[in-house]
Order: sequence, then structure tokens, then C-alpha cells
Amino acid sequence: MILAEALLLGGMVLFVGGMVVAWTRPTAGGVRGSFLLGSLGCAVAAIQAVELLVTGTAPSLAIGFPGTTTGVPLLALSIQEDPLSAFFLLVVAVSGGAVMLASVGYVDRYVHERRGRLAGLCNLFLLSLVLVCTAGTVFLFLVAWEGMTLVSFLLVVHEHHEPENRQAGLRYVIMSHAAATGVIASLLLLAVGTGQAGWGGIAQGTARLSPWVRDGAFLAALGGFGTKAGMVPLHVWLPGAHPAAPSNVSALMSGVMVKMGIFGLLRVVLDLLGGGPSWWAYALLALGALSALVGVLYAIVQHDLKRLLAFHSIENIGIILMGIGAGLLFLNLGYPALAALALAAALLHTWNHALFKSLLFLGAGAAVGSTGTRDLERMGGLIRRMPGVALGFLVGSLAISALPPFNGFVSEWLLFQSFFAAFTTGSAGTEMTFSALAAVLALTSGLAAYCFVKAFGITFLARPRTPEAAKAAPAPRTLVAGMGILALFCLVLGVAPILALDLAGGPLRELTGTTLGTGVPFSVFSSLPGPGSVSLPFAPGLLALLLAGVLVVAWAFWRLRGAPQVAPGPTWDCGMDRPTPRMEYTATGYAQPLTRIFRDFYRPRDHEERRPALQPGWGDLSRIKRWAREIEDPVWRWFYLPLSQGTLHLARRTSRLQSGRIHAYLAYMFTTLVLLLLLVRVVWGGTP
Amino acid sequence: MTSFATLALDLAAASALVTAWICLVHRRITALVDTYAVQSASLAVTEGLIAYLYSAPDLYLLALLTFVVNALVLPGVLRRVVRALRVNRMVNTYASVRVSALAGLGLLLLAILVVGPVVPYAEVSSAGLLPIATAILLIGFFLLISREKAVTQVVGLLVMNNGILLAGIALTYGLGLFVELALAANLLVLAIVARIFLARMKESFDHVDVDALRSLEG
Amino acid sequence: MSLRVVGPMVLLLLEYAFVLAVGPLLLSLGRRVKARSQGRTGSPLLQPYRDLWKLLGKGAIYSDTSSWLTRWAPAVSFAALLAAVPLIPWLVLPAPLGYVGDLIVLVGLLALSRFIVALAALDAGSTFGGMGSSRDMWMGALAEPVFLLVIFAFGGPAGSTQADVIAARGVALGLGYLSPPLLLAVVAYVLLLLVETGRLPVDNPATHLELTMVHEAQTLEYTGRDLALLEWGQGLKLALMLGLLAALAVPWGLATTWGLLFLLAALAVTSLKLLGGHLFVSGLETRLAKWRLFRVPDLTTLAVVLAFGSLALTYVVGGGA
Repeated sequence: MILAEALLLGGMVLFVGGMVVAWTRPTAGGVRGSFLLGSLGCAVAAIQAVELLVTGTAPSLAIGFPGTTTGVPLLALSIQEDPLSAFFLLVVAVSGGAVMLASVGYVDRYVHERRGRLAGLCNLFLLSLVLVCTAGTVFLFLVAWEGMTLVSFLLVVHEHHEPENRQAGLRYVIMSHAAATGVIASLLLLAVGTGQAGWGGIAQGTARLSPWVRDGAFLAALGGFGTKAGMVPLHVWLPGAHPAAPSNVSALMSGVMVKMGIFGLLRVVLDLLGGGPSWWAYALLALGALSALVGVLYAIVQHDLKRLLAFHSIENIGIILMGIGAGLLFLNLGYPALAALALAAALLHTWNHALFKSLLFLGAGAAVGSTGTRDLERMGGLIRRMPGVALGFLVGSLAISALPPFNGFVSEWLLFQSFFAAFTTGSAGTEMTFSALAAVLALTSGLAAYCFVKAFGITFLARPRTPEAAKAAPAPRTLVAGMGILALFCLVLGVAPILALDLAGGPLRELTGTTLGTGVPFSVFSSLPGPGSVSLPFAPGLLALLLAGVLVVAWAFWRLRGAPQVAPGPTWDCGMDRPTPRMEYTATGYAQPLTRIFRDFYRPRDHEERRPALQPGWGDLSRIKRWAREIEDPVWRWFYLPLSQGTLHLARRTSRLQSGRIHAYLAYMFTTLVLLLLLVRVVWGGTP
Repeated sequence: MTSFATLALDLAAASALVTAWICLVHRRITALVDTYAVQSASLAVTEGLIAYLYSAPDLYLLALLTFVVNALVLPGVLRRVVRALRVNRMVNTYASVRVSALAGLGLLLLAILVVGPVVPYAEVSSAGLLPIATAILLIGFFLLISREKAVTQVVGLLVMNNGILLAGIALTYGLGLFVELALAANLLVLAIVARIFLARMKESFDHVDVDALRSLEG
Repeated sequence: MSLRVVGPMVLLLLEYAFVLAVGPLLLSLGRRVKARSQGRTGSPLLQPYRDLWKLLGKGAIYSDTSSWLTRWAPAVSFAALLAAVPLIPWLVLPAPLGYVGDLIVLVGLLALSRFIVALAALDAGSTFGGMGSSRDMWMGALAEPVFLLVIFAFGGPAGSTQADVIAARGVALGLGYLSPPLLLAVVAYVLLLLVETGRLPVDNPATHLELTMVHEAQTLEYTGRDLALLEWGQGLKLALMLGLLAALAVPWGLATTWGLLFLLAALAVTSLKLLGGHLFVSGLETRLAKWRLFRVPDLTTLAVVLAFGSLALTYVVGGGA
């Protein structure tokens, strides 16, 4: 007991220490030390989380007012961890620790003079993330939540000399502000309704709330946490804000912070409300499928490397939301074991995404840092300049494309299995719904693979497209080390996902009342545990062994036949001139077929600059001097533009109310008061 | 043996559905006509099997008729029309091929949803004959409204007709030979009329795109 | 070691030998059918084996702009395909080591194989490589939902996504296994097979014009043993897809009891099924012209419609695929 508290407090103290060091000694050494302290803090927090998940010892700390005795229960501050918090704390700590380690060298090369501030803010950011996970009461959660938003805003506008970044930051802060309203409304509805401040107390009281209040809390949470998670159509801040931040911060935001939206959603919808009517589930499934498809379709046409990754975060959030929706639906239909399967997929994918997305952003950071551009078309050939980074990025690409034997495949496989499990419910509608969702998920992962062949290939392979890319500096060693840790996690959780599943047992029991399998814990080579006592038809450890075995046999075969002669030669040129970097496939060209197939969705706008034909009779092609394709997010066109125009229209209409007479305003206030009183009467009932 | 016949019946009906879907993705008129011929053939097989299973000898005749008229004669006529009129041999569509195909799926779901409750009352208790027939009917209708050229619209009408035939047999396999005969004769006449109509149209307007008729509107 | 461990191991090795051997034969059979339909004699049936043997003994030339990825890609791609072999019941039910993974794992392994080759195709910086890579990847992406729906359509009634469980249900049901939903799922699967293995309306494996290539464009830069592995991999993939078709559509003939005679019979039946299946596919190819590239989405949409229709029909027909 004491150990758990000491570990948690120790982690927090290390973060504070990191802050103090960075702000008091903003030298290169101080900044490095600050990042190392943050990394260490994450390691300590991770140990505490694992301890809780394995042994069940939870730290409990009360700050200031102890619980409800003060008479101001809502203001109670306490840190209280349950398995769900611990799982998310682990997610935060592993990725956070690796990113902080990678930042040590990354920021070394960062010529900016405000790096002390960056290091300090990063530590503060992690502290707020840890607090969001471990807060035991509504009030502390909200304080930590707002702190997290504020610090991340400061990090987004860290390079505020670029007007583009300022705009992204502004959009982020506006969206976050609106989202916070939802979060606050949702949690206060529940806290006030039940008269409790701690999670446990609220969870016990929510069953008595009226369906209206429950629906309201669900919708507010969906909007609030959904915005933070980057759910379509509330995602519009994300593709701007994540690229604007320094790359290590992007890794933290995209890898870790968006997961807090998922955490909040799970906390409110499943833990506090304990599930709900089936339309909640269908809403989550529909929004998840939409996010997954829109995210990946937009990712493919990006040629800004960090924007591309940001859109993939939206896609993966969609996948996680589908898992949560499936879990909710199974709970609603009375299949807690199947719900455990779907939620296990969601939880696992949450962690997996945190790992490979941080990894990919670190790799992107290295590429962007050494070439000075985020444009894919100006990179190329980096695999020879930074082989370690390329290998890490390759692992991340394989993982995010859901390819075995990496972790992304396992969580998507589990999700497919939970969709397939709908066939045991015997309801035609449910089966057809989940079959359609499986098709969507399959299309999504196929397109993700398409996108990452492009992202990796154009960035790291072939010849450098610009002089900057040709003389890109090699990546600092700590950056490669940080990426190595994450890549190792991606591989280990792909080969032995049972480790993560065992750790997720606690949260699953908390959310659904049951968990997966009853098999031997940490049995790496057996089939994965399934709902109830059946096991699922997949043994990832054996599969990895098989893959490795085949490779070893092939290698031994080569050895036996003697090493073959290897000679360099030119790339095939059709018997004409040697290919130049100008002739390589571009990112735009690579994605062009898709913009054509989904033309109605993308509605691309093409810009052409023409010149006179080089020779009379030459085709139309020779007259095109420059060609560019522009694709904008359709959600702007279909959702936000009508919304803003509608709002303006409404504002013009309501401006008539602004008469300027004091009596009128008093009358408005009076009407509001009367309505509010009526509302209170309706909502809380009671005898007349 | 009966169970084997039932099985074959199911499969023949299903292949009629598959060919209806394939009609939706064709871009060449001749391929479309060929697919229609295959569909008619599988319809004939279905009818023959029903005749065998329910000992309804008059249905054998209908099967033969369907095979000769719908699978051989009508496609032959249509091929001649296409050749004789020298129409552009591509299918022009109002809805893209992909949208059409997905619409075809939607129509099957609709058919199942609507006809599903009636299935137990059908005379031929086999399989999903009634929903499949309804789906073929709807797909034929969709083909009729979503394709531009008169020849392709005729094929749509014929596919629809196949659907009606199948549905009629599924509901009451004793629809009566004479009704069927009348139906078949009707079809033949229809084909001839279509042939003449198309020829005249070609003569007058130099093409058979019904869209061009709109220019006649006051 | 007891027979319970050694038996399946020996059987697995036998299956590996069978699949590795039959792959090139399938390729040459397809070429032969095409040659005959064009009035040519065609190359001898055993030619691919000679080619492979020759290529395996040769050294390699690598483009001077390529990296370590090019050197590793053929082996990894081949290994991914090999790892998929135990997932399909070739001779006996249940498949030895069939519990390693189900059909969704198979989809993942095929995707891994494609991903690595497509990535390495960009390595040399050749325009053709990029073109083939882009085409192969988007076609693969569009084929993936078809694959999953087909798996659901076949697996739904059996209650499992594992190939040998589905096949076992078919064997147990006998002819009653056949049903309209099964027919629809099989047609959808055949369309999928055409896309996945790059057969004619989608891709022409015999083309020599770089601009029309899909898969071939990605192998332009390879020589010697690497080329051998990629060619062999093509045969292997064909064998995998056909073997899966045989197991799901016509599972009868798989041995359910152990014994030398049963095994030999199963070997004969499976070989016949694979060759027959490929004769059908090649025959189909000789009747088809290559479609325009952007007609491929129409094909995959039709396959989606068929597979989903199969699922929907299950509710009116009962039984199911």
C-alpha cells in the first residue's frame, strides 16, 4: 500500500523536478536533465500502474478536504486509482517515457532558444496527464483536464512565429473550450444528480437517475470527450494542431492525449453510467465507422507527413470507438462476455495506437528536423542517412497498417472477432450490422496499408528529392533509443498480446463484470483467451515462431548453397536515360488513383498552369507546365460551413432582441429564471 | 434424390439472382444481353426442377418455352438489333456502376424485408424463391430506370419479366399454362415491337438515346 | 516424442512440400491453357521448376539507389506466404497446427506479403516500381472488405472463422452444405481470387509492357534468387487462394481419419481440386480481355454485393454458406 503511494508521488515529484530544472537552468544540460527526469517519472508511474493491475494494490491519497465530510462534496480532491485508471496510466507512462527519452537528443539539435520552456511544459503536460488518469473525484479531474488542455495549447503555439501555427492553436483552443463545456456538463449532471463526488459513489447512484439525465450526460460526454479524441465531425482541430506542435509534443498529443478522450468516454459511459440503451451503442458505432473511414481517406491524400499521421489518429480513434460501441451493444443485449471481448479489443488498440503513433511521430520528427520540411515531396532517400529511424518508422508503419506480427494486427483481429461473435446472438439485424462494420474496418486497414507504403516509401526510400534531404543529418542517439523502446513494445505486444490482455483483465472486470478466458496467465504460445471459457483461433506467439522459423530455414538454405555474388547496377530505365529523382513517384501521384475512385467524396480541385505546346502536334500533356491538386476536408464544407452560416443567420435574426432598453433585459432575465425554476421542478421531481 | 433436386432448385434460383447483379455492372451491351440469356437459362432450369418436384407437367412446357424464347430467341433478336442499328455498344448509365451494384444489394435487402413475412404462404416452399424473385424484379426495374439507351432498357424490362415469372411460379406454381403461354407470346410481340420501334427511332433521329426525346418537349 | 507430436509435424512438412511443389505447376498450367487457346503449344509443364532452379543458383544485381529493404523484401514476403500454409486444411481435418490462426490471420499474412513487396518497389526509385506499388496497394485495399465479408459468409453458419472448422462442417453436412448463400459466397470468392492473384480482367501476368503492369512492375528490379522467390511466391499465393477455395467450397475428400491410404487419397483429391480450379480460372481468363484499371473497383463492388447478399440470404434460406 505504502509502496504504491510512494511510487505515484515519486513520479509526480520527478515531473515537478523536471519542471524546476528546466525553468531554473535552461541550458543544454539542464534541458537534457529535465527530459531525463520526466522519462524517469514515467518509468516510476508505469511500475506503479503495473503493480496495481497485477496485484490490485491501489494508492489512495486525499488532498485538502477529505471526502464528503466537509459539506462541499463537489470540491473534494482525492487521488484514487482503479484498474481502469491504472491501465490508462500505463498507456500514458510507457509512451510518455519513451518520448521524453527521445526528446533529450531531439531538443539538443533544436536551435530554438525557448527550449527550457518546452522541456518544462512537457513535464507539466505529463503531470496533468497522470492527474487526469488518477483523479478520484470530479473536481480534481476537471482541474487536471483543463490543465492538460491549457498546457497542450501552449505547446501547440510553441513555435508561434509561424502564423499557421497560431491559427491552428486558436482553432484548438476554441474547440477545446467548447468540448470542456460538454465534459463539465456531463460530469456535473452525474455528480449533482447522485450527490457524490468520487467515481465509486457516482457509479452506485446513476442507476436511479432519470433516463433524460442519463441521456443528457451521455450526449455531453460524447461531444466533450469525442472532441478531445478527435472523433468526426468534431476532429477539425486535430489535423492542424498536431503538426503545428514540435514533433515530440505531437507524439505526446497524438499518442497519448487523445486517449484521454477515450478514457473519459469509458469512465462516464461504462463505469459511471454502466451502459445504456442501444441507441448509444449505435451512435458510437456509426461515429466510429465514420471517423475511421474519413480519417484514413484524408490521410492518404496528405503530403504533409505530420498531417498525414494526424489524420491517422482520427482513423484509429474511430476503430477504438467501434470497439466501445460493440461492447456497449453486447452489454445492452445481455452478452457481457462478448462485451468483454469487444472492449478488450478497444483497450488493446488504445494502448497499441499510443505506442505506434508516438513511434511514428518521433520518426516523422527526425525526418522533419533534418530536412527542414514537412512536405513528403521534398524528402526521399532518408533510409541511408538515418537507418535506425527508418527501421523504427517501418515497424510503426507495419503496426498501424494492422500487419502481423505487430501489435496493431492483434487488436484489429480481436475487434473482427468481436464483430464475428455477433453471429452467436442470433439476431439478423445485429449480424448484418456487424458484418457491414467488419467490411468498413477491413477497408480502413487496407487503405491504411496503402497510405503507409506511400508515407514510408516517399519519405525514406529512393533517391533524395532535394539537396536538403540529400544531406540530412543523422538522428541523435537518444531519439533512436526512444523509438527503439516503442518499436520493441510494438513487437512484443504483437507476439505476446496476452501480456496486455492480462493487464486489461482488471479494467474489463470493472467495465463489464467479466473478463476474457480463464487460462494460464502470461502463456505466450497458446491461443488467445476468448469470451467465457473458449479460446480464440489465434496463437500469435506460434505464428511469430513460424514466421521466424521459415526465415531461419531460408537463411540456412542460402548459407548451405554458399553466398551468392552480389553486384550493384542501375535502376531499370527502359533503355533510355538514367532515372532522376524528378522521375520518381510522388506522394500525390501515388494517391491519385484513390482520388479518382472516390472522386465524389474528395471533390478535388486541380490547378493547371499551361504553356504553348513544345511542338505542334504534341499531345495536351506537353502543354501542362505545373499541376497541383487541392483537397479540402469535406467536413468543413458539409458541416461547419452550414453551421457557421446558420449561426450568423440566427444571430442576425436574434439581434432584434437587442433593443438596448434596460426593461427588456430585465424581462429576459425574469423569463430565464422562471424557466429554470420550472426545469428544476421537472428534472428533480418531488411531491407538489 | 428429392433433396438433391431441391438443392439444385435453390442453386438455380440463386444463379438467377447473381446474373441479375452482374447485369448491373456490365458496360457493354452485348455482354449485358449474354448475361440476360444466362439468367433466362437458369430460370428455365428452375422451372423444370419445380415441375419435377411438384409433379406439374405443364411447367415442363413452360421451362422449355422460357429456354427457347427468353434464353435463345430474345437475346438473338437483341444482338441483331445492336448489330443492325450500329448503336454505340457501351451502356450509358445515370447512376455509376458502383452505385448501381450497391443499389442492387439494397434491393435484395428490401425484398427480404418486405417479402420475408409472406414466404411461408408461398406454394413452392423452397428456399428464398420469393425474395429472390422479388429482388430480380426490382433489379430489372432499376436497370430500366437507370440506363439511358433503349436497348438496355429493353433488357431491364426483360429481367423484370423474368422476376415476375419466377415470383408467379413461387406463389402459385399452377398459374396455368395458358397464362404463361400468353405471357410468352406477349414477350415475343414485345420484342418485335421493340425491334421495329428501335429501327424507326434510328431512322428518324439517327440514334437510340431516349434522352434525346426530351428535346421534343415543348 | 510421442506420436501426437511427431505425427502432425510430419504431416505439416508433407503439406509444405506439396504446396511448394504445386505452386509452379499451377502457373505453368495456366500458361499452357492460354497458349493452347491461342493456337500455340506453350512451354513444357515443368519449365517453371527449371527456371526456379536456374534463378536460385544465380547471384543478384541490386540497383545502386536501393537499400537493405530491397535485399530483405523477397524473403520476408515469401516467409509470410509460407506462414499462411498451415492455416488451410490441405489433406486432413482438423488441420495440423490449424489453431495457429484463422482466416483473418491469413488475410493479415497476405497483406504483409503485399506490403513488403510494394514498399521495396519504391526503393530503387523507378517510376514503374512506384506505379505497380500504388496499383497493387489500392487494389489490395479494395479487396480486403470482400475478403472479410466472404469469411463472415462462410464462417457465420459454422460459428468459426477457422478454415478447418468450416470445412469440417461441410464434410459433415454432405451435399446439404450446398445452398444459395454458399453459391453467392463462392462467386464472390472467385472474383476476389482474380484480384488477389492478379488474374486477367484485373492484371495480365504475361504482359511485357511496363505501363500496363501491376504486379510485374514491382519485380522489375529483381534478379537471381530474389526473382526466384517472388515468382515462386506468386505460385504459392495462387496455391493458397485455390486451396482455400477447395477447402471452403468443395471440402469433401479431406481425410478425417489418420492413415496412409486416407492421406494418399486426400492428396490425390486435393491435387485434382487445385488443378481443376485453376483450369477453370485459366479458362475464364482466355474468355476475358483485360479491363480498364478503373473498372477494378466495379469488380470489387460486385464482390461485396455478392458476399453481403450471401449473408442476407442466409436468413430467408436458412442453413447458409
